[in-house]
Parts: sequence; structure tokens; C-alpha cells
Amino acid sequence: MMTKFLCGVCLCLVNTAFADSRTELMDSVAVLRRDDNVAAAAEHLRAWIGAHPQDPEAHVLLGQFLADGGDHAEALQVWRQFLDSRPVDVIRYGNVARRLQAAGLVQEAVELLEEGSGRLDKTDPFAWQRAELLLILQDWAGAVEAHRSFLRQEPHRRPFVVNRIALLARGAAAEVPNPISGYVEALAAALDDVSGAERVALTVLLAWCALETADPEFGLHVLKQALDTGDVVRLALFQYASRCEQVGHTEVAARAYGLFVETSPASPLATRARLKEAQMLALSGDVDGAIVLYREMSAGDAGQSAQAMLRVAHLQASSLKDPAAALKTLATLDQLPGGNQLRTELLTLRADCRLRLGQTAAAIADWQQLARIPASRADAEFGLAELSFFTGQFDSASAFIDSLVSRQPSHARANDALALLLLIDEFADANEALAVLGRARLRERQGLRDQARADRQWLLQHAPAGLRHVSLLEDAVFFEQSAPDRALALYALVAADEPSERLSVSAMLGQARLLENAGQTEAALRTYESTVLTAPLDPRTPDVRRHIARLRTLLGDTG
Amino acid sequence: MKRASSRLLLTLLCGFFLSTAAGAERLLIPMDLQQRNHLKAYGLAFWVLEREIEVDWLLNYRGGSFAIQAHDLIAQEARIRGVSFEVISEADLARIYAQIDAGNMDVVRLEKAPRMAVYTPPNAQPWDDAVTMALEYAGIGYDKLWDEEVLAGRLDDYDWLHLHHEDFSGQYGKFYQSFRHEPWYQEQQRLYEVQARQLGFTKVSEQKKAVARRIYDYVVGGGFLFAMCSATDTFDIALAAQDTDVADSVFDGDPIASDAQQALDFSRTVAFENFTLETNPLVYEHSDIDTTPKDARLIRTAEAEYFTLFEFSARHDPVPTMLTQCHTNVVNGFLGQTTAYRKSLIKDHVVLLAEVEGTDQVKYIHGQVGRGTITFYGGHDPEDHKHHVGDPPTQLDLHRSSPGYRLILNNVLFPAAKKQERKT
Repeated sequence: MMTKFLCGVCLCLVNTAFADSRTELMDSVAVLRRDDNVAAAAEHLRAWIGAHPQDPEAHVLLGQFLADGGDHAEALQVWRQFLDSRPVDVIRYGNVARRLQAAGLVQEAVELLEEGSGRLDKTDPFAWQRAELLLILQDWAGAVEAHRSFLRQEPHRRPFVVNRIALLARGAAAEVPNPISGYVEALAAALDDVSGAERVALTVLLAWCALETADPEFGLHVLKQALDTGDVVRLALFQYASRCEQVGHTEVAARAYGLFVETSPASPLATRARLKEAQMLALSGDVDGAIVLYREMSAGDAGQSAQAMLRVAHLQASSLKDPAAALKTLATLDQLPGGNQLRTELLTLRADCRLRLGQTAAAIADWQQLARIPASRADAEFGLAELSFFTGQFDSASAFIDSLVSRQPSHARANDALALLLLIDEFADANEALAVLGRARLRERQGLRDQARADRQWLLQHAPAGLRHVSLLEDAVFFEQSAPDRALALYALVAADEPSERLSVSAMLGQARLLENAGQTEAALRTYESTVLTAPLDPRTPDVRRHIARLRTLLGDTG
Repeated sequence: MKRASSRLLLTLLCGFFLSTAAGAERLLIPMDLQQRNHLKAYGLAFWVLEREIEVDWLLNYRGGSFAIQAHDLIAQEARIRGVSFEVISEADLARIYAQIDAGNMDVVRLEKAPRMAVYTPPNAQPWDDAVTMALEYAGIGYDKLWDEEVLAGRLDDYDWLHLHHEDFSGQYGKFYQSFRHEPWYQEQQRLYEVQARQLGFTKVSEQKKAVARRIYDYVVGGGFLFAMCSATDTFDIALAAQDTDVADSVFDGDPIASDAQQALDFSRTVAFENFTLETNPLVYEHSDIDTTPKDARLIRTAEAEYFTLFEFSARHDPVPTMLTQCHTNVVNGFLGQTTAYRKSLIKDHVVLLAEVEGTDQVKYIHGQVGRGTITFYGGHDPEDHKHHVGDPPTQLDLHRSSPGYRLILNNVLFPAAKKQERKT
């Protein structure tokens, strides 16, 4: 008993002495290092290690000092000897590899980690770190191999690899060709040698990496070639289509959705995929193709059929600008199933088409029906107010607007409604001219551009200044895309002549916008500044000030 | 071209003032609740100073208003920036000066726009700097400096220097526990280490100490230093730790000096003394200077954690008065890595500008160091109570009259004041 006690005391004393002398050593080493005397610090550590070969921090620190002093070979030897002399310690291997990387010895860091893995039987805990180093070296084949090893151990972390590659690809996006495409090529080459589950995993990885490196066609091709390998790839195809849609590759997305429907017709996702396919086709400009698809879908159950035909009608009305065809399509939906949402959509679209075709009484009937659905009442009132304005019934228009804004002041159409009310109030004593403006707007809505032009010519000659300027501003907006110079001239005309701040601010903002689009940034800035000075209390002034601050920063202008 | 137009403007303005020296009107920029955009008003005053036109800062008069010779171009710029102003006659101004004479108010003439520099790293960081945002919103130009420029002596080119959220103790903000696996943290450490080597230092903590020394010399030589958040306490920690190592091995590869605490030399610090280091690398704190609650349950709301500004004698203590000009003396609280300072650890010569009433927490301090001054302001973003790493930047257009931001901008203008001796 006494012997054990004495041994314990001795052990404590030895440990305390060790701790004290080690603290002294570390302090002295820190001082030497601060004084830039790395060589002396290294000597101190060597002496210490000679007496205490089991002190791991001392070995790591010695290697660091040697590396800091530029003796990379010696540093590497110290670290290697230290790691080799004990069982594999994952944390220490990683730590030393990071130090090698910091010293610029990236290849040596890779080799060290490979040795570490080699000393372990089956696991490869350094796979991710090794892949990172190999990516730095642009050793694409090596990086792919390291990622394969990583995914064999943690197959659920495939998105981790994709995100890493996507990040690198985005970082190097300015380079042509993107260097990360080398990784994609190496990954494609690696596919030749694998089979089974790993092949499936790598196929999906390859497709996603191709998409992230801006080659969605290749990604789709890869998935298409592997569709016979099972459900994993088929499901990945749907996800791939969604991702293509998300990043704006609508054409590839349409084909990917189509391929999914073709190969997985019984999937619960098939209907959604078909709808998406049509939607993507329309977005990528193939309206006819989209309509064909929607019509095919109308053979499905009643709800699906109604939805598909409504979309056909929307495309006919908006993209094909054929309200008559849209009305015909809508006529097939008289017995509309489902709740108010589909009905609201149908009535709104039908009223708009009827208005465009000059069937005003029928349009009014649609809006009146719409007004009976509580959630759609404000939309119906706005439609009726517009129609009243178009037909010169200003009291009726005002009444609809009053009802809308008093009940739902935060409705999406409330501001448009108030703008209309302002126009009616402001030009109450110019009813005839106001009616001509309303008619011009209606004719434009109906695509009767020549007749609308005649109305606007009449306004130029006979309307009071303010209303004339309203008409010119509407013309300018119309020409902004097709004839910006003409639009600019119209804005300038209004800005120079218009006494009302509200309209002159609109004109000046239009001018500034067009000048900036044309690259005349300084002129745009001066126009914005004049706008604030002309009408500091205009509600748009805070926005104008933001434009001024932005352009001043851009031009390095301090005012 | 731009310079030419600036010169033209200057000539026009000077010509105008010479020709209308007597009987001219004044522009009064009120800084009380009548002002629509307090922050931009500072920018306008700075803009006027840049054109070598004097500005009178009417301390304690309507929230610290400005009076400037009236000119269409200045009025026009005020309108463009959305700054409220009133045109007053010389007789009105005389009445205002009489009112100032009768109360705890004074007039300080601002003569020249200070040359501004912000100490900020070249890499993007996942947090924002309130001062940089305030300067940019107010339209005040500044240069960016980093360690290389500081060590190369570039500080002498500037009158005013701002430090924000920097860790001069070389411990990377002590984010080790929470963020060591984050790419931004690792990248920051790598960049700092590479730079330290390039500048001839064996480790980052040594380099930061050298930078702190240079900044100290700059202040002693007459520079104005304004620091916020962790740049304040870590600056003093770095100065006190010149002869020791306070950074753990996870930060600089070697252990902390065993006598680090005892080796601190408080005679070298500018604001704090007798503080105790937090040496655990896993604790998000540098020392006991900071009073940020360690228990998240003790953190309340911005309104509940308000602080109050001290009132000073405008005539006898013009500098503290300038630094505390505001339209309110109660300001919403806001946290930071360093939120406020423990009163008992502040050196005697330092003037307390704002405190959290009923506690030992001091939010805002100012002191003379050699021929220059330091002003420290605890917290990170006056309009974002708990600004977390990765949070989006504050939109200052939504806080145009922020009292917390006004305190920052007071610091920008005060170096433009004609120097006066502090009497108390």
C-alpha cells in the first residue's frame, strides 16, 4: 500500500516537473519566434524532442518552424517521421496536411494523406481533404477518385460534392473554357470503369456537375443514356428538370420533363411533369407545342382537363394574341368543375377577351358574375371601372373605384384605380377629350392601333395641355422598346411644356430611364437631379434620390 | 473633367461669397425633429466643407444644427439629398446666437473636411461595418486601408481613422468555437497568415500588434481614431500585450504565454486597464472589458437596452458636446462582439459619453492620447439590435434619423472643428 502511494507521489512530481519545463520551453520558443529567430527556436525544440520524443505538439511545432524558415524538406521529414512513428491519428494527419498546404506544399500534402489512408485497412477519412487539395492542383482525375472514395463512405453526401463543384465553376465562370469542365471530363471518363450502384451515383453526379458548369445538354444526355439502370436515375431526371427550370434553361427543362413523362408514365409526378413541360415550352417560345401538350392533357380527369384548357386559352389570348380562339376554348368549359379559383380565372380571362373583341355587354356580364365571388369582387370592380372609363361613363367609373379603394385599399389594383380616379377628377371639365382618351385606350387594348392613333392625334390638337401630355406620355411608354429616340423626344416635349409636377416628373423619369439605357449615365444623373429639384415633394422622390446616389457612386460624382 | 467642374463650382461659390459678404442670408440645417434626414445632413455639411466653405455647428441648438452661408448651389444639393433647411436672415441668425449665448450652447466653426480612412480587410466579410454604411449613405468619401498600408506609414495622409470589428489580438474574432469549419473563417485565417508572412512576421498576432502600435503612434501624433465593436477592446489588449503572447495555439500555432495575464502592460493602453484576459479559445470573448451578456436569456430588446447620453458644458467641453449631439439623449441599445465597457476598467482620464443607466456599462467613451484623440463606441450596428454573422446589411434609408448612427457621424465632423483646449 505504502509502495503504491510513494510511486503515485513520485509520478506526480515527475509530471509537475515535466509541465513546468515544457511551459518554460514553449515560452522561450514563443519569444524566439517573435524575434524572428526561428533557427534557435527549432534548436530548442529539437533538444526537447530528443529528451521527450512522445511530445506530439513539439514535433508539429518544430516542423512549422522549419517550414517558416524555408527548410521545407526538413520540415516534411520531421512531420513524416513523427506521423509514421505512431498509429494513424486522423486529426494530426489533417493538421499537418493543412500546414503543408499553407507552406505551398500541396502535392506533398496529398501524398501525406494518401500514405495515411494506406496505413488504414478499409477507411479513407482523408478523402474530402485530399479532393480539396487535388482540386487546387487541378488534378481533375485525382479529385474525382478522391470524391468517389468519399461518396463510397458517405453516399448521401453527393449534394455536398455537387455544391462544391458548382461553387468552383461559378468562381471561374469568367474563364473560357471554364477550368472546372476538366473535372466533368474526368468524371465522365471514370464512368467507364464502374458498374452497379456506384455507376448510378456517378451518373447522377456527372449530370449535375455538367449542369452546374453550364452544359445542361450534356447532363441530360448522360441521364438519358442511363435511364434503363433504374428508378434512381428516373427520379433524378425529374429533379434535374426542376433544377434546369430554376436556373433558366427552359428548353432543356422542357425536354427533361418530357423524357420523364415518357419513361415514367405511371409515376405520381407524371401529371405535374407534363404541366411543367408545357409551361417550359411556352416560356422558351414554343407556344404551339405547349398548346398541343395542354390539349393532350385535357383528355385526363375533369379537373386536370379544365386546368389544361384554361392554360390553352391563356396562351391563345396572351402569346398568340387571338382572343377569339381563346373564347372558343373557354366555351368548352361551361360546366367547370372545382371551386372558385378556376371559375375566377375563367371569368377574368373571358371578360378580357370579350372586351378585346368589342363584346362589352358580355364582358360586363362576366365581371358582374365575378363580383359575386367575394375574393374577386375588387378585380371585377376594377374591370368595370376601366370599361366605364373606356366608354366615357366617368361617374360610373368613379363609383366602382370608390367602392374598391374604400373596401380594399391595399388591393393590388388599388393604385391603378386611384390613378384612374385622379385623371377623371383632374379633367372633369374636359369630358369630351377625356372620353377620346378612354376610347384610344380601349382601341389599343383591342389592337386597333390605327384608330387609336387617330384618337391621339385628335387629343394633340384639341385636348387641354394636361390631357394632351397624358396621351403623349402613354405614347412614349409604347415606343420605349421599339423606338427609344422617339420616346425620348416625346418625354422631352412633355417635360418642357407640362406645368403639373406629377406629369412632368413622369416625363423626366422616362427621360432619365432611357438616357441611362442608352449609356448616357451623366445626362441621366442630371435629369434625376432636376427631377428632385423640380418636385421635391413628389411621392416618387425617395426613389429618385436612390437613383441619384447610385449613379453618383457609379460616376464617382460627389455632387 | 470632374476636378475641373469642382474647381469651377468652388470659384463660383467663392465669387458669390466675396460679392455678397455683407447682408447675406444663411441656410440653417435644423437637426431636431424638423429634420427629415439627419444622416444626410452630416453628408451635406461635409460636402460644403470639402468645397472649403466654413460651417457653423450650433451645439445643443435644435439638436446640433448647422448654419452655412446661403447659396443656391448648396440649397440645391440639400434638396437633392433630401436634407431639410431653412433660409434665415442675418438678423435671425443674430437672434439665434443671442439665444445660444444665454443657454448651454455654443458655436463651433468647422473649417476643413478631414481626410478620412477606414481600416478594413480586402476580403469580403460576412458582416457589415456600420461606419462604412453611414459614410456611404451620407455621401462622405473615404479611403480604405489595411495592414500593408498602415505598416508602410500611409496613416499620416489622413486626419481620421475608423476601425471596426477587427481583432488586434490575432485571435480572428474568437469565432473559433462557432465558425472554425466555415469556409469564410478558414479563408480569412489563410489570408491573414499569408499576409503576415509577406509583411515579415512569423504569425498574425505579432503582425496585428505591430499594426496596433502604428495606429497608436498615429493617434499620439495628432490623429483622430474612432473605433467600434471589438476593434476597441482588442486594440488595447494588443497594446498591453506587446511583450507577451495572448493567442492560443489554435490561432497562431503555439501556446499562450504562461504569464500572459501578468505580462500585460497597462501603461501602454489608451482606454482600459486592469482587465483580465479570456484565454479559453472556445469562449467568444477577449477579456472582461466587454459587458455583453453571456447568457442569451439576459438579452432583451433594443428599446429595453437603451443607453443615455451625458450632457456636457458646450462652452467648456466642446469636444464631448460635439460627440454627443443628438435630437434625443436616449438611444436604443445594440449588441456587438463588444457591446459596452465595464466602467471599473476604464482609465481615469477617459471621458464617459454615454452609459446604460443603473449599471456599470459604458457605451461610448472619448479620450485624449498625446496630440490626438480616441473615441470608442460599443456595439456593431445601431439599427440592428442583434446583428448576426451573415445578416443582410441595414437599409439606412429606413433609419434616416437614427440617433445611434448620428453618434457615428458626429465623430466624422468633429475633426473639422477648430481645435480648442478642453477645460475640464
